[in-house]
Amino acid sequence: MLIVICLVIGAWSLVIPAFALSINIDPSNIKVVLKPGETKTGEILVQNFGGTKIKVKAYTEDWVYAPDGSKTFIRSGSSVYSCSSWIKLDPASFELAPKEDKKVKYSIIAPNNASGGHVSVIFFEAVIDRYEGIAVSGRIGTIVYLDTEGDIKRSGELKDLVIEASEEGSPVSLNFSFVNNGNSHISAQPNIKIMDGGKMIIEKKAKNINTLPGDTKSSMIKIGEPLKEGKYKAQVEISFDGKTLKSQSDFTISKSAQK
Amino acid sequence: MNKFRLIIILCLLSCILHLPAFTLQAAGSITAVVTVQGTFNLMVNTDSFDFARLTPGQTGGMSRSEGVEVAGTSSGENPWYLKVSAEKPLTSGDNTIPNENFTWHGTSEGTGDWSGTQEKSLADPNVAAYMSSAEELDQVKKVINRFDFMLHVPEDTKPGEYSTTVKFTMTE
Repeated sequence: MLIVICLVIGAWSLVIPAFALSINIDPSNIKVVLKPGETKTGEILVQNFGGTKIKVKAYTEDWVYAPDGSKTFIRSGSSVYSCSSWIKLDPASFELAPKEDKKVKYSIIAPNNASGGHVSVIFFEAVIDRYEGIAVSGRIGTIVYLDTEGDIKRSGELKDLVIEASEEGSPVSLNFSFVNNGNSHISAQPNIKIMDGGKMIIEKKAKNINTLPGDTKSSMIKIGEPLKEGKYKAQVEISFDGKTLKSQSDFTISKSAQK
Repeated sequence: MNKFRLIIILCLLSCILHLPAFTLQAAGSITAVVTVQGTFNLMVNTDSFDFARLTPGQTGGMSRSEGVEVAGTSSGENPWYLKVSAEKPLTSGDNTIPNENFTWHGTSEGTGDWSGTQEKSLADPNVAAYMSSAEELDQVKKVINRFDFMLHVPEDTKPGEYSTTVKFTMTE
């Protein structure tokens, strides 16, 4: 019996890769509302779950949205919506032994002339000193969203709805754009509806569309369900901050040429 | 008969001794509080790799045949993204190999969007290597991605030991 247990444990250890670096943070985002001149403080828990001592460097960077919806990180202070220079971290560098954790204090100080929405990221970068060849490091970030109290305008425009549809059995796609013309970050929830006459036959929620002020995000949502020959109406709804924007368009599915 | 009585007395005593001490007191309640910590975790299975010896004009893979495994886990509500970048071009003294020549591809065990099926250059910081799926967020699932790096050494590259830092970034 003991031999079987040892064999199982041995096989399991071969299957599960050993991770040289394992860093955990909590929270992974911070949302704050501050008046101009006000300060907000808090803590981020940083944990070394790995089996090696690591050096951790805490610092801020700016970010913008990449076309694929991920964030592109840029030097602190290079974005007009940056609040990176308003963030102070203590400690900014430290060591963590295996299984050790540290609470890093942050202070966000809104300047007296603060206005609109701002973003930043607090990175915790883990470095293992000893290496040969090309070094590998990992960093994990807490995204910061800051709104200036009394000066936030969340507004957007839904435009350019185009339906790509042809014949029975072919995929139907809804293409549209969302423009953030407010002054803060927007995370909008798209919802699409397909109507046959007055009856709704398909309703589908899509992934949130995230934008910074001035961003235009183009989206394409595919309808998986096949539609029969006929006339339909497609409606796109985008909801954020208690508002819903709507756009609709008629489209026709023709008879399949294969029949 | 005496034996029988003795057994009954012992049984009764045993029952009394095993009764909880507070049963005769008025019923009360206690509040149990637990703080469940959030998980937002990045794991990398090596601190370095190399390409061994390459000659100008040659393209080669990393010596580490098993690649670099990078895992992410999140208990948050928002999708998480994994990116890979090089801190600077591969450098040896004043000589460099531009990051356009430093590429990666690989495989993912996740159900999210993996962009490593085709070779990608480390010169492009905009593309996420992996974006988590809704299912992985619901299940707080650990997703393991495997990266294989390739290097093309341009013909005009000067001899030397070139190094840089490859950085994996995980955020929402």
